[in-house]
Amino acid sequence: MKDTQPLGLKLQFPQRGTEKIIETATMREVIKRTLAIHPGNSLWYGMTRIGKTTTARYAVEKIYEAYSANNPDAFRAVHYETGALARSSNDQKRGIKSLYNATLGRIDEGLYHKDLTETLVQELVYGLKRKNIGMVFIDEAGNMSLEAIRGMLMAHDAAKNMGHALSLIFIGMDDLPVKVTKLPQVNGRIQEWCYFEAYSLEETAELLSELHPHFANLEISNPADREQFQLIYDLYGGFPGHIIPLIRKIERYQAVNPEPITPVYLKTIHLRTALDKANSINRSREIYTNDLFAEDARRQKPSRKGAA
Amino acid sequence: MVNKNPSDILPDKIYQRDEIILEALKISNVTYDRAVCVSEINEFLTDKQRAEICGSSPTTVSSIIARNLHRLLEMDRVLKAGQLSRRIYYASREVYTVENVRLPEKVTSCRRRVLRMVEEAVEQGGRALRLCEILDYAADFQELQGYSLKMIGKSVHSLLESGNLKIVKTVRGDGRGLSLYLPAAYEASAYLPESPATWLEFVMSVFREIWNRHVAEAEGGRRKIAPVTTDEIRVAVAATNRFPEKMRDSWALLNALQGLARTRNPSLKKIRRPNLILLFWIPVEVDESEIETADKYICDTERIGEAVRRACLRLGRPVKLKEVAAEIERDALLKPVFPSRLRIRLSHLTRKHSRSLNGVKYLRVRWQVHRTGKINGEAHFYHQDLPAADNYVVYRQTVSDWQKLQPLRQLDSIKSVHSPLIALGRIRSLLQQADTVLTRLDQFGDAHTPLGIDEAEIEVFREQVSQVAGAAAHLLEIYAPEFPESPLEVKCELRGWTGKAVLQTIKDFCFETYKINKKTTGHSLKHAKLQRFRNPEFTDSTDYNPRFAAEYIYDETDAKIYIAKQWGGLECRLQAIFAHSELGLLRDSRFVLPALVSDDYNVRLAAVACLAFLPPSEINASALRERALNDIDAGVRQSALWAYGFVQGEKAEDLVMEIMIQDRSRQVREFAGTLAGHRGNFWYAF
Repeated sequence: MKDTQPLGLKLQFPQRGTEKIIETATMREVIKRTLAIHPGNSLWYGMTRIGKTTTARYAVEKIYEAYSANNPDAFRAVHYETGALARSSNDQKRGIKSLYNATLGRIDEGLYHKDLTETLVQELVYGLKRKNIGMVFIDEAGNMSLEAIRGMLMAHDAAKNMGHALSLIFIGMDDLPVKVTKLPQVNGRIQEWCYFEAYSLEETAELLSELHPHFANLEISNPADREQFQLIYDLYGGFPGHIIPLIRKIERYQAVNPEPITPVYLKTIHLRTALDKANSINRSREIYTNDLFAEDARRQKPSRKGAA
Repeated sequence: MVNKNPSDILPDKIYQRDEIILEALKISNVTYDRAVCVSEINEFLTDKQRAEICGSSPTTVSSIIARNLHRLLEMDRVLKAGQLSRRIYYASREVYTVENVRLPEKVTSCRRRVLRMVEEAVEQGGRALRLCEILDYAADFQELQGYSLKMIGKSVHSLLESGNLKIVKTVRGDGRGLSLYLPAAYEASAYLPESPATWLEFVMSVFREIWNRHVAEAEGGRRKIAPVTTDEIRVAVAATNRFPEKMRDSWALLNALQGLARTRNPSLKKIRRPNLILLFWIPVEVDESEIETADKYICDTERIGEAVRRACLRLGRPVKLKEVAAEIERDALLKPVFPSRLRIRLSHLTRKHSRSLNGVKYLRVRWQVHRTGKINGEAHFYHQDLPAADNYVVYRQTVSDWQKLQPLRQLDSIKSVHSPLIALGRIRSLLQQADTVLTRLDQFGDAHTPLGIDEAEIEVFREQVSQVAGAAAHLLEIYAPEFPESPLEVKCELRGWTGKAVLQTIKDFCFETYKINKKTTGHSLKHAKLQRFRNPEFTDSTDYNPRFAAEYIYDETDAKIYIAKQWGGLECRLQAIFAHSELGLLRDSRFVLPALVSDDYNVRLAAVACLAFLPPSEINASALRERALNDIDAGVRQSALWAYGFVQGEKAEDLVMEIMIQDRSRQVREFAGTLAGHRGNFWYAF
């Protein structure tokens, strides 16, 4: 498939539209389960690109839409991604600081260093109560240490004491579940565990139908149509995070040069990226010798002083 | 009787005049009991007789008497008894004969007597004498009784001219004679005075002694010669116990030294260093380059002034207290003798005026150290009154003020401000600050370059400020179009609190007052980096009213936020944190009030917090009251209620009661219940 545009690049910016989140059954299920235990803490785990972050953002959006100042039970939600926290002697305080900065704004550094952890927690919860923030989605929680997570959970406990309903949802991959279970004080405070599995073929088909009108017109019961669904499912394993970029590529290419969307067409789009990726990896292996790899590995070796 | 022409006088005829003279001669002979001279005859003439003798002749009586006596002698009417010295003695034939006439005892002339007197005085004194000493001796010399001092003095000069007396030496006089006299027959070397004859000579001899000692010390130590100070001479003179009457006069020594230095033939040279009291004296033949004056100071004031001067020259700019102290540490001779605090001494040194004992204020003549101003609260000093030194302080303070604004951080934090209008206000405020700094830098032209600062440094700083201004202008292009009606200029007037007011506010509600005193609070306020500015009402630091005594005062909003964060309760601290992150350096409520009606509750919440800490006004208070009653969000109502009480809005207690009863949210009602009863500064404790 060649680009049939005349010679000379004619740049056209992709149309920027509001990101549309497709509500899936998995998302509904997870959100309901999370809300059911409010004020209770949850842990969402799943592979990358499975839709955890999208689900969290969707939950926040829904909570925002449903919020009413006249409803005494209503609350607000915040979603944010933590960065990697370098290990230090006071990870608990750093965890609280992370929560504080995300929900109330930048913490005063002087007060942060001067005040005790309990005082900071109290201030954090007071602020959350004032802003009526009842749910906080902490994404990439796998980056945090166990002590940092423990510090955040102190806010949940303090909120209970101060009469505020607060739920913390830890979202991540890596070794987050194992890490959490190492400490009973943390493990015991996670009331709900949600595992994000890859979509099935049918769920993938349903997702594709929502994402693009071409797939909306296909029937999974039709073998010819099913072939397309099956192809995409085989290539992308039922991970929405991988499927959606494909759809964007389809839209882009269709906008420039409309063609019938066939399995070959789909495969071509996929292979264009996959082959270039394989060639890049192979070539980089040829260029960089073993010595250079060893040097690179040596540079990445953790220092003796221990900070990861 | 008609005076006849002498050529007409008959040689043998006795005239009336002759008879008068003869009669007087007779009386004089009888009185003196011997032959007499013309002057002795004249004593016995009456004025009428003298007038008869003289007639219209211009000749003196004595001359006429002498002439007539000579004629009478030729006429053998009188006897010439003899001649002693130049005087002829006559006797009347009626009284004496040739055989029994007597002459007076041998008469010595004044000159001879004076000469004898001088010889006696020299023998007694053992040395040559000045005229004043001769005259002093003559007062008690028997043979010269009856002779006037003028006569004696003339005799001395006469003897000098005739060679009977000689001058062996001249001395520094005191108006009573410069020359030393000695009879000609005496050997000069044996009669030269061993000790100084006059006060000036004495002072000079003492000076020479001390100078020679300094020269010996310098040669031994291979360094320059130390000059002689007035004090050294004073101590040496006092030790000799000579001239006690002079030493009782505190100015005598200094006047003597000044005299020795100022005459047409000076022996001494005076050295005075600028602005220092201490004087140095060196022999007139010595060059100043051979002497070392560096380590001589009369008092601690001079030492400290010298320390300031050296520090300024070393660093090439005005110096602060620590640098002066460091300079003193470098040289032990600069260390003050008395243990007063350096800060107090420097403060004294910089005073232009002083007060006399009866309270009268007068301008000090000697003003050593100039206070050029403060940089970050630290006074700076310079040893000269130069505009360039003042400009140094202005420049450094400008740089410091700019850095305290943390402009890059301000730019960065603008992006996290909830309210776009407040962000716009902060951008405009930053731009105004940058313009002010650039304008101030423009005044440092060629003629006004600050001391110790080169133009390259000023240009680098100017470039930094311009970059910030450029970045702010870029942000302005983004934010300004959204608010076309917003004010173009930001009000920058700051309301200030004195340190005392801050302390009092803290003590009103903080239970740990025993930990808070002026020292600790002042220390923490200093390090809290609160925005300070020059007090426009400042008059004098000794004024009893602290409002007029404080040279710098704290920005009210900054102070409130600081107090709230350090000592405030949960609500107070939360609001302070919101206000601090939202407001930055903005103090103009015109950019905050419109945010109260934003759709975003975060914006409204932040706006309420800002109004709580901005200088209170009726508009702000009424806006807060309106939010407390009508805002849709319970959290905003709670915050507004607290803020209304915090700014001490009118009838805050009534509003609290009203909301406690009528608010639709249980949470807000409970919150109002906890606020009831709070007054004054206790809103901080909530």
